[in-house]
Amino acid sequence: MEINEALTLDKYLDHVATDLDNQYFPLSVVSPSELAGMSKEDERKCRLYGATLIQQLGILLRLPQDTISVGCSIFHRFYYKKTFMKCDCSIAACAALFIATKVEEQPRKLRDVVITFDYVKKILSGHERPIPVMLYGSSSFTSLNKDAVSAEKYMMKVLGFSLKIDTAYKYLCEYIRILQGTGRLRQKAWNYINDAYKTVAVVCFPPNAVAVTAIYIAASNLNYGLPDCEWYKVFGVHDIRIIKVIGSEILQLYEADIPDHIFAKRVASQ
Amino acid sequence: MEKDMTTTVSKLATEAKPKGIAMNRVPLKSWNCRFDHRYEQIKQVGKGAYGDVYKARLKPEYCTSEEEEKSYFALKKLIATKSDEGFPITSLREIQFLKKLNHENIVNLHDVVVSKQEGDNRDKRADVYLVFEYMDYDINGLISKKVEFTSANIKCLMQQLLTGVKYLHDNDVMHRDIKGANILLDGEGTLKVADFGLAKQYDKFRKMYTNKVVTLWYRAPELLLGSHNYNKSLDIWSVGCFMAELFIGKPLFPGSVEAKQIDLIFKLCGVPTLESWPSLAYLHAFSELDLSPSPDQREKFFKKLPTYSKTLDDQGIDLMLGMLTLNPDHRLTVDECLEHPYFTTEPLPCQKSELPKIEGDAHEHGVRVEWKEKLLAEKQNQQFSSSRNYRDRDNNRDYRRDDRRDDRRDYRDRRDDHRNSRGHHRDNRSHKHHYSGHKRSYHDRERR
Repeated sequence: MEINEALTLDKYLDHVATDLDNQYFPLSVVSPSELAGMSKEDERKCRLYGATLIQQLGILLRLPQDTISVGCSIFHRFYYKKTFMKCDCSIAACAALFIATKVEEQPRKLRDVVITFDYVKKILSGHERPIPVMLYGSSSFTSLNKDAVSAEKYMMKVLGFSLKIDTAYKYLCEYIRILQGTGRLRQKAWNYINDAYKTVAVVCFPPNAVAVTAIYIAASNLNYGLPDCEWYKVFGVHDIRIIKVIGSEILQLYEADIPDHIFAKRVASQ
Repeated sequence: MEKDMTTTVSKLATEAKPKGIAMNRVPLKSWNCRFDHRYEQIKQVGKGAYGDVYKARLKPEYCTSEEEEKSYFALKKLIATKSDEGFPITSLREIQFLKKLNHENIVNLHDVVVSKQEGDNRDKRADVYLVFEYMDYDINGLISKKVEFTSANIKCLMQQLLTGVKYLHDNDVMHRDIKGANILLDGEGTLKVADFGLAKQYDKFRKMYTNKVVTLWYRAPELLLGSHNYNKSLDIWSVGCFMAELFIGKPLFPGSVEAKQIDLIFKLCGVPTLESWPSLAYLHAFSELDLSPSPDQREKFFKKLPTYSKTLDDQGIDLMLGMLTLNPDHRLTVDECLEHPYFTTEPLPCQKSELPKIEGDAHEHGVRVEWKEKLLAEKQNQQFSSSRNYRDRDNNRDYRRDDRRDDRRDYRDRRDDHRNSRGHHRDNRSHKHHYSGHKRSYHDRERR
């Protein structure tokens, strides 16, 4: 499926209620990094690296998956306004997750976020083990702390303080309940959504489309018998091509044939 | 393309050195967020722990329509706390709520602007301003300027206020700071609820909320007695206090400290019993309460008022008694308040345009400044009759400042509870000491 075909889907996006807080960029919009001369593949890698960092960080901070996904969305949105060349990608990931903890009422101390961030970054860049934990109050801690705070404020300004973002998980649970799907299907679809948050699909399409796609892929993967009709139309997705576009975005992740964190390691170490 | 990749990768590689972080070299330019130099400030209209409010106008070169040229805006500057936690979560909540809520009786957020940061001086924090439409009066200002409300006026105000509160409660938002100074009135008589600095999403599964919210005079008894799992009914108590204030012309319960406040409330409403308020037994301060019976004197009090039979009728008293019920479970809900016969009996609520108007504008801040000037003049005249009322007001402000630490306190409470439950009885102060000792030893080790 060519991305170009998505151009015809712009009309679809007009039907979606796009309020101030939830604006979706059509896939046809060229991101600023690309305009500045970065190849699509490289941008994808950078996005994957940032999202993986957020995911790992969120797990270590014991955040719910919902919050982590909001962090990923903020990260992706930010890079629809700024380029990867000018804005450092890892500190932006750290700040995005920190904003998400505040927005989603799961407050974590900045101290904890920064120290864990440093730890995860060292893991991803293939640091020798044992990995030293950053000392609280050390000079590198203070400067990283300052950077995180300034990055946080900068990101908020760039995004115009519209940070309340819907995630796909609640849609998934509702849809599975309506379809009377099994727990196994739900779990599989949930995992696909986790991966969807590593791609730009979540910035380009509303969460219900992402949830429907995840169910679609999961069902075909498990040979699960979904109703033999256009069931996705019930959930507000009027065109099967939307599912194919999002699906191809997600499935591209698996083409590399290596786990994400190893992939991210390679990006970092290059 | 390969070149670009190498540049990005080299950027990634420089992360190890903290100085090389690219984020700071970016000139501060934004896409959605506009700068405050679009507005020219006219005068200060509000001041408090939450920040300053200015009356402002859009500069003519930025106006797009004639309407914008004529209209005034209120700029609310958010406090730039020097906390280590970055952008304050309460401010973030306020912005998110105001963006989400859209109702005639809720103040309307036009824009969020930031002040321009000069150079790449990152130590200097940029100020964030919220831009609202300008409202001419707040109710406290009107009351202190001795504006007289008729019975129909008060019904109109209360109906608008309750409609606004109903919208909030339908959206599961607790305002947590309803008082006269936060209730604004524009020239056309539309009432708007403002200041969402303490607002919070109500979540019925959440068990812990901080009880250091709401300005002391309007704080509900369950908060004063240390409840942590209150619900939306705390706003109704504040509305009740506010309504009584409209009839009396001064605050109903002007307590100076928390103990005095609960004393005043019990004096008027009578001491609650376990029959009338069963969940009282689970509250923190229950063991310290003196539960010697005392009669409920609210009805007597309201009937003695000079405004009784002029503006206040029996239906009005009945509504107030319903809102000022000690037990939060028995307090009226917003819907019940709006359906109360008070609003359907004669005299009916008046039209918005019939509300009283005064020359110029009236805000609590302006009144306070006038007081201050008066006080200074009094001092110069060697008359030491200080204005008790004024001092009380300032005392009250300090509580507000405490409220700002909302979340941290919340967190600390929970943490301490947790610790105590595990049997780690440790004095808070000594704990701190212990910790700093640790830090020092770390440093020493580093130096060695």
